[in-house]
Amino acid sequence: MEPIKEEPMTSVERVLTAMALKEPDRVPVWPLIDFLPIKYYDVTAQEMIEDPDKSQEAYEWIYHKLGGYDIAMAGGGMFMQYINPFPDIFSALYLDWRLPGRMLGPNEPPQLVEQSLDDPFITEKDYDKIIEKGLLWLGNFKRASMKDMKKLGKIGPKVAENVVKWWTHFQVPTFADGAGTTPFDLLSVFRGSTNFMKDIYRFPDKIKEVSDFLIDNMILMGEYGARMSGGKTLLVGGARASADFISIKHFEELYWPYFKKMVTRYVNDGFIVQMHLDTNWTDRLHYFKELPKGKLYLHMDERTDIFKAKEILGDHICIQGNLKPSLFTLGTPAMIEKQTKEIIDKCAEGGGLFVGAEIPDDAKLENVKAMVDTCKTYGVYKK
Amino acid sequence: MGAKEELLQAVVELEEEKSYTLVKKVLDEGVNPKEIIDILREGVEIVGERFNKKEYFLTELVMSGEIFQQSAKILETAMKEESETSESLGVVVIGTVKGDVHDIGKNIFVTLLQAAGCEVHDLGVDIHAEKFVAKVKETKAKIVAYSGLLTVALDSMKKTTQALNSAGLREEVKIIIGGLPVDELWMNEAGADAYTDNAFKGVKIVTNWLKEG
Repeated sequence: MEPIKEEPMTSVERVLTAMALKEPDRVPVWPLIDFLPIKYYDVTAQEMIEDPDKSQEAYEWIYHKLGGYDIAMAGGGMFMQYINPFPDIFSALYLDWRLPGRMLGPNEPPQLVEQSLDDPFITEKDYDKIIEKGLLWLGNFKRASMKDMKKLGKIGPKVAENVVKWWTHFQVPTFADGAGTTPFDLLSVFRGSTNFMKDIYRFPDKIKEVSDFLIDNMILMGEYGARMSGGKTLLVGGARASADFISIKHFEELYWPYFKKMVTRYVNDGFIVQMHLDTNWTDRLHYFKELPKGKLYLHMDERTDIFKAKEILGDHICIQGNLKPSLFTLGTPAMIEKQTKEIIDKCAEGGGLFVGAEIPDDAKLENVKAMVDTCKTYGVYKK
Repeated sequence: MGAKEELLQAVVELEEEKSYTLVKKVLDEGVNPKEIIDILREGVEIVGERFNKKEYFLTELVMSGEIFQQSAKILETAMKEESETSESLGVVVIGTVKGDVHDIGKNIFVTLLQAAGCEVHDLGVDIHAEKFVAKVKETKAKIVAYSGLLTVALDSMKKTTQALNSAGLREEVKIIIGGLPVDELWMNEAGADAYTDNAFKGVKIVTNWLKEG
């Protein structure tokens, strides 16, 4: 398919300008689309993961259908994510991920089964075992097979091609060529969040010890993933260290030092870092001022107050967000337009803003288009 | 400070081991197990209030639930000996609806409902509408709680309400939905009576309904 060339800047230029805290031609817009094409295009959820050509075709189709937007997903990238040989929260080689065509129907998007209280993936005794033996012994073939590992070698180069295609042909940056996970988040999914929250009270020093042991190699694992797909972007996500889960005291002790080390290293190594924060981080936004200025973007969902984020971080970090995902399924184009305008009104001045949201798999296309179109018309910066 | 006050304080400050020691101590002093349960409940309640004021977070709610449950186990034997049973406030059927397997919030809600004195039947995750209906019939529950995180869950919530309706049970029960994204739009769409993204507030809604009869 042909690139869309209707605006003064390409998406790459626009995104880099906004990230550097300057005003681009208009406010960049980013609907985070992963499985939405299965509702509108002839492709299944299984193919979106396992077929890099078909999924790239589907992503290009929806990109055109919506008239273009500013960050895209490379076809096949989700295979690298779910069949990651290294321990990561998305890897089906470690965790109980239900994947389409395996434990789910071919058209049902993946879901993570939270570890049970009584029989978690690792027990509290395994903290010492991790320090002694590392993490790879935890890998298993319950949800993925050796065949998948072989396929990884074939899909890898295809994903790399798709990444390059977005950057050079369409001139659109890609989303998450690799991903870094903090020790805190990994241990939480390995233990199950409820067990892990008890551990936070019972053995905080042990969690710190394991995190200190893991952090440097976990940083490298993320970089390795991005380099293997020839990518420039790295996602660092967070959900379970927010104000919806833990206190500032626990955040300071067990999360922030590791998150900061990871993100700073990625920036210093030349990656574009996409911080992706789910749930409510409003009361801890000021910590993000400790990260390198103008080199990152920070995505937040509707639980974090984006207006506060602009106030606290506006001169330091490009912010993204924060329409509520379910609004794209339940709401109307008028509702989306109104919210998009409000974000632009209050946060666009001076640059450093992306409007964005995670798009649910059953979203209405006209609702997604309403967000994209509003940024292209109402979000134009006046020179 | 007497041992009872100390126990209350230990629960509120989430001092786990100290709480268990004090539960045994007041039991040895001859305090009625039912009274001890009430102290524990008061402790969990205060933790919940601090959570609402954002002085405490989910971790603290989880710990208070754990302290309650482990303490209740210590008291179980004593309560049996005195052939006392703690009277239940009412029956709640809960589950994460069909198509969704997220249960972090649901599990915390279950623990807090139990701490508040409800008899809870937790169906688990990915639960078909008919299973909710069967359990409501079996337990004569007055409250049904649906949990969900994904938008697919909303469709399943709607179907579960329809199934309760077809079975002639909708008028018999109150429905509450819970999960991070739920709001008024979700509640109306799901045909529910209340919604919450806050486990502690959810427990308040349910216990108020049960008290109203």
